[in-house]
Amino acid sequence: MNKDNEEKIKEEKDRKQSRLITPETIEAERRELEKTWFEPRGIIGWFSNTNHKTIGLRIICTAFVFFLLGGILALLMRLQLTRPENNVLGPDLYNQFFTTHGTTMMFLFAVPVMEGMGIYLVPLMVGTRNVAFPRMNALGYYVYLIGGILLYVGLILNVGPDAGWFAYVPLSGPEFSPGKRIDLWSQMVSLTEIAALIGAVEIITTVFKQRAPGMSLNRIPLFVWAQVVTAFMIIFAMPAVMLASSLLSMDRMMNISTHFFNQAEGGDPILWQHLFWFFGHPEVYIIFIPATGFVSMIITTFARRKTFGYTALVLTMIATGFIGFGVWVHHMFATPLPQLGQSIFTASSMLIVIPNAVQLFCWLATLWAGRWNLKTPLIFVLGFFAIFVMGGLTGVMLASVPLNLQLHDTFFVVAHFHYVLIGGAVFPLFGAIYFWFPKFTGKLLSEKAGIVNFILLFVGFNLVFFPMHILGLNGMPRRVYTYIPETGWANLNVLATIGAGVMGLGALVFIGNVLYSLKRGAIAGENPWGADTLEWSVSSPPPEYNFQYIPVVQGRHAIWEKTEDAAVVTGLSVKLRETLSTTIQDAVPEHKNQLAGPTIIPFLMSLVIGGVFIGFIFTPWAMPVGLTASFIVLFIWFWSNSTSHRPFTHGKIQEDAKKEDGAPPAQLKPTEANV
Amino acid sequence: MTENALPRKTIDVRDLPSTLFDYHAPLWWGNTLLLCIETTMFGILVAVYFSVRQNLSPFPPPQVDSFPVNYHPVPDLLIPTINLAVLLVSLIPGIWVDLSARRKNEKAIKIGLTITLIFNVAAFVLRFYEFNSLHFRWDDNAYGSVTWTILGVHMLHILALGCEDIYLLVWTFAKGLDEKHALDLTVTAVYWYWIVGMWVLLYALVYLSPRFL
Amino acid sequence: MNTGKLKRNEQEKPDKRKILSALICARLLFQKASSKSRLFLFSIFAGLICAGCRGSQSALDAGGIQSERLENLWWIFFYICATVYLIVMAILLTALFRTKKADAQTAAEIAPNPEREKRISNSVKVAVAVSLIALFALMITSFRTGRAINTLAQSPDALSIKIKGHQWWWEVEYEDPTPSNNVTTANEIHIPVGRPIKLELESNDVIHSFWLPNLHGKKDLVPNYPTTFYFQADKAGTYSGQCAEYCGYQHAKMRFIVVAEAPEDFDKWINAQRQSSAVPATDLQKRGQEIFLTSVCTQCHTIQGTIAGGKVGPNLTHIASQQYIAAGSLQNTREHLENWVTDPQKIKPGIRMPMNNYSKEDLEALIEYLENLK
Ligand code: HEA
Ligand code: HEA
Ligand code: CUA
Ligand SMILES: [Cu+2]
Repeated sequence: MNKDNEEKIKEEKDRKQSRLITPETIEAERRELEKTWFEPRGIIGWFSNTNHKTIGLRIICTAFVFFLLGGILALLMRLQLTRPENNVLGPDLYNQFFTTHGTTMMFLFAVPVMEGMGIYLVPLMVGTRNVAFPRMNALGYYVYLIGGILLYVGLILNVGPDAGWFAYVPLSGPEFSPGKRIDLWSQMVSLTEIAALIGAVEIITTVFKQRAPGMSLNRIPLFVWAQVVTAFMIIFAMPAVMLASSLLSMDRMMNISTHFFNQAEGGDPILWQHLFWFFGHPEVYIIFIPATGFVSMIITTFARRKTFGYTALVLTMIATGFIGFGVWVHHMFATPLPQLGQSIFTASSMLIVIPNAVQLFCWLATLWAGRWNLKTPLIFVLGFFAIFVMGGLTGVMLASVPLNLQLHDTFFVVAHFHYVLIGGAVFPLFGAIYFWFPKFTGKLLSEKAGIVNFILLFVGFNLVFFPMHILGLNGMPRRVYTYIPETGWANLNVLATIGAGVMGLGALVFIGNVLYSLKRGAIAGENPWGADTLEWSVSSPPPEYNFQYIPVVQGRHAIWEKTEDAAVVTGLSVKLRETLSTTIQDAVPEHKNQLAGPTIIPFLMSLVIGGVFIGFIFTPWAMPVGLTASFIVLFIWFWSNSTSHRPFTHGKIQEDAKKEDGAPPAQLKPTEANV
Repeated sequence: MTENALPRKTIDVRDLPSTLFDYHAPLWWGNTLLLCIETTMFGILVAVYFSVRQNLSPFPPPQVDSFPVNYHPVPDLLIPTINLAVLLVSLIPGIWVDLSARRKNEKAIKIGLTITLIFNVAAFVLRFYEFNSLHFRWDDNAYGSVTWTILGVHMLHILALGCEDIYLLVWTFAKGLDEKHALDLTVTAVYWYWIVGMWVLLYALVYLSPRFL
Repeated sequence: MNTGKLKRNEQEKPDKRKILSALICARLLFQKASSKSRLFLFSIFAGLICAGCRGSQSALDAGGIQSERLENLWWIFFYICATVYLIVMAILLTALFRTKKADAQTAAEIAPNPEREKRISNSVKVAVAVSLIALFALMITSFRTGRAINTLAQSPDALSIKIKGHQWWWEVEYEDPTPSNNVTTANEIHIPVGRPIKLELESNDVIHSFWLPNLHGKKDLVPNYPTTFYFQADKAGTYSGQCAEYCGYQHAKMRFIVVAEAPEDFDKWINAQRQSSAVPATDLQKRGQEIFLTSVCTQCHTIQGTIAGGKVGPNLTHIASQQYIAAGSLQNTREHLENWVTDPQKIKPGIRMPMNNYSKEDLEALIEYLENLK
């Protein structure tokens, strides 16, 4: 491996230093690039591919499968709730189902699908050839997959979790949940969070260090900003839940049996709630903020005008990110906590409305002043407005302590969070799929089917969840597997169940549309929507190396503001997987950075990690064994790094290190290409 | 507009270096973000510690299974303090390796790394004895649980870094120094600084706070 | 270049049709969204009707001053938020119908005219300011209500009742200076109208939540966190409530009722409860008692005045006087009682009470006895 790497580098050195660019050289270089960036296909590819587009697509598809699974569970739950004293599922299955449904939708669908979109799109949008750490990226996907499979294998073997998606102790503790159900849950959580954290590190590093020249901070596309903010939230929120669930599983382990949550020994059940919600609330913005990224991109493209209030939108995202860490107690208003403390969290929860309001009105302004190209993506965004705003407003109601005491843990809350999750995240997501599907596959999705899909989802959604507000006000608590006739909740529940069916149809139409368009969809071409960001400047689907010549960005809307004499970057190796690394603030070219290529080691590593966590359910000895195994694998991982063993570039390091983010080095001024 | 339209202007980056240190390097960012994650995690452990402290009075709880009953079983200081000293001293070879990596001084690196590794191992071994000075087992009560966890998790970091050092040593001896590994060395150094720094705080929390506040 | 032109040609036709269908959808969207607001008001109304009927547990038909305050607070929030929602939708729809149509080839506006932008950004600022004010109003009313509903806590003459949450039923204890006068019952709380009630809540297993929508918001029962909770019923009547924090298998059937009655009725009731259990009159009842006392029942249930002193399950001393069995989820009729005694697992799977197989006449006798425990 390293040997031929050396040779390539030598070839580089004595490659003819001509700057000549002719159609022939372009064609030649392209063929070289194809070879260099070739990724194994088929079975081998499945275990060794490291291209961000492949990985991204895998994450997205896997997440959608989990969405369908979670949705099917939801349909079954709805069946059970249709009539009072119904016996379709019974308590045991129902409890497993709503827990698995919630866990799936939050940990296995919403968060990963958003990161998947980021992994696919961010490198294209910032104009680079791959994410910063391709092998880590692959590892992240496998770990996520293992976590997901673990949960569903558990469900099938009747060890599905049954303590709710926030698994409050003591109910989820060793005393009241014997057996392995909760252990599976907590390990699954840790695995998916590892994956999420890896994704976050990838995205931040890629955006900070690998943007195309000229894409200074104030020119980064809004979707990329959203991904960066989300990534930072992940980094500071996810450790809480990982730690908490690990502590829980240690409490539960027969031969460890710590006492973190055991009130008898100085532990504390409320502590769990704090730890969980310290993650749990940021989690919901981790799901929501990328969706706002979609909305901004779609609105800008389809209102055919520059985004109104770019800076405001960026700042509100960051503000939401910060405030999002200061509101978690609003999930605990009914617990015996001091009154005063609680009203502080009412205030903070209301405070977080402000950035949301600013955001909302900026979008409305863009739409107001634009000329609409009313296509499915935009239609889904309209649906987003109609639903999310109502969800947000019920959120404000919940934020008031006294009202919350009535509404907490009722179907009103269920209504709230489906309005914000489905309205705020799933509708924009569908819009985004209709928007970027052409880029992913080269085929357009059918518009007509898209509209049917939208109508079914929109109508169905309101049928399911609007009645839940009223059910909640009529005193129907959540997580009840049935209710007695005297309560008079039956009729509204029937409505809800019908609605769920309609949503199901919508989902089926979507599946159909995708399958059909993959075969017979209209050819998309480079830029079917006349959009503004870099990914639309390359062929659809993009080549493995994304850009033959990394472009130089001249404005916020890279394509729209591109002038005739826009420069491109030359001189990147076509023989090595090289990409350009630029300065953080102004994206001035800084150094050439070689990326790792396809390898199977990440897959092996994921097996080790999965093994440790699953093994730990049964014996603490999984720990030492796993550590040794991972040491071995990691050793190979580093050793086999194809970018290693590169001789020093003639002592340049020091001087260039001195040359900070400032004016570009002399030789980086754009020069006339002799064509 | 398409890719193969001939570009009018070009920026030629052929002569740019292929590795820069510190915040110029993606790897450095990867590591720094990892450290953010770890720091958050320790932060939360500290929070857990204080919540336990709130629930237990007196704190630490009397050690009833010992004879005579130990009513104020604050952790002993001897071995922990020795270990703290070891960690602090190990910074010296650490820094040395860091600098020599930038100067591409292969010999210095070989020596420095070996010394750091020895300190690593020493700290790791000492940590095993450290557990005894807590007076409690992890399953005696929440206090035992959280202190053991803090020590244990930090111990895992020492172990991880030891492995990293071993790898880098093997590589430098086998294949000599190169750009990539010069960078790796500096990044590993940062990681080590963080581990030591983190321990100074945790030491104060676990060993001093029960005594003095 | 010419590739681009080709693309345009082949998109020409589909585009027209797409725009058409898009417009159709837009109209549908319009109808839906605007009728939505009407739907909203209407169905809240419908909700209230449901709430009105049959001893339902609605937060929106108040039986006490606190829930009344909460109800008012709700309507304030509701109307402000509804207005906000309608305004936003109105803006969106006007935008939809006044906008000039465009397509993918329309040149994007990257340098819009400055004074137009100025005007727009001003109106955005106004909108944000207005939201700020609205929010502030909401926050203040919320705080004031919060303080108001806590005033009860100062009342000295509150009647104090101990509530203990079990998986999955409620233990209710009326304490009295003279211990012999303590009354222990389950899942049915009698209170005098118009007098503040002080509940001392505690849980002896997992977290439960005591919720009585018609009278007050909920309060969690967290192990090791004994708390108190004040409320008051001003309308006489029977209110039903339910455990609101997921507590496992039978969380759904952890219900209870509160009977708010005139003080004198309440005194009558409490005195009746203080008596020890009715002595069996007929032979059949005697037989029944014998069966009860010689079977496993006694290990879990208490019947005052007999040797049955179990503390695992509800106290049955006055079981016959209660309206519901199975923690408020089954009317207390003879056949229900029979079904319950023979196979509780069918009605509430997962609870601790085992199924018992009595012979026909044994069961007859047992029920006869229990029915007599007024
Ligand atoms: C995408 C996810 C998402 C989003 C964006 C939100 C947004 C908000 N949420 Fe929500 N929430 C959840 C997901 C989300 N939530 C989930 C999953 C739960 C339940 C977890 C569980 O228990 O299982 C939950 C639960 C939850 C609770 C706890 C309920 C309970 O259990 O008792 C509360 C209480 O304060 C709350 C509040 C809010 C608030 C104030 C916002 C705000 O951010 C909303 C801001 C937006 C708007 C307000 C609309 C647009 C703004 C305007 C139109 C401007 C004008 C507005 C005014 C003048 C008011 N949420
Ligand atoms: C993003 C998150 C998300 C999403 C999208 C959904 C989607 C849905 N949820 Fe969700 N839900 C949660 C997150 C989410 N939920 C959470 C966090 C909880 C709390 C859990 C807890 O309390 O612990 C919850 C709880 C919850 C409850 C309350 C359970 C209870 O408290 O008793 C209910 C009840 O109706 C419900 C219903 C639905 C329905 C009908 C959908 C529908 O929108 C689903 C629509 C999708 C489909 C219908 C799938 C379509 C698939 C097919 C039609 C089959 C075709 C398949 C193939 C061809 C392979 N959910
Ligand atoms: Cu008790 Cu739910
Ligand atoms: Cu929240």
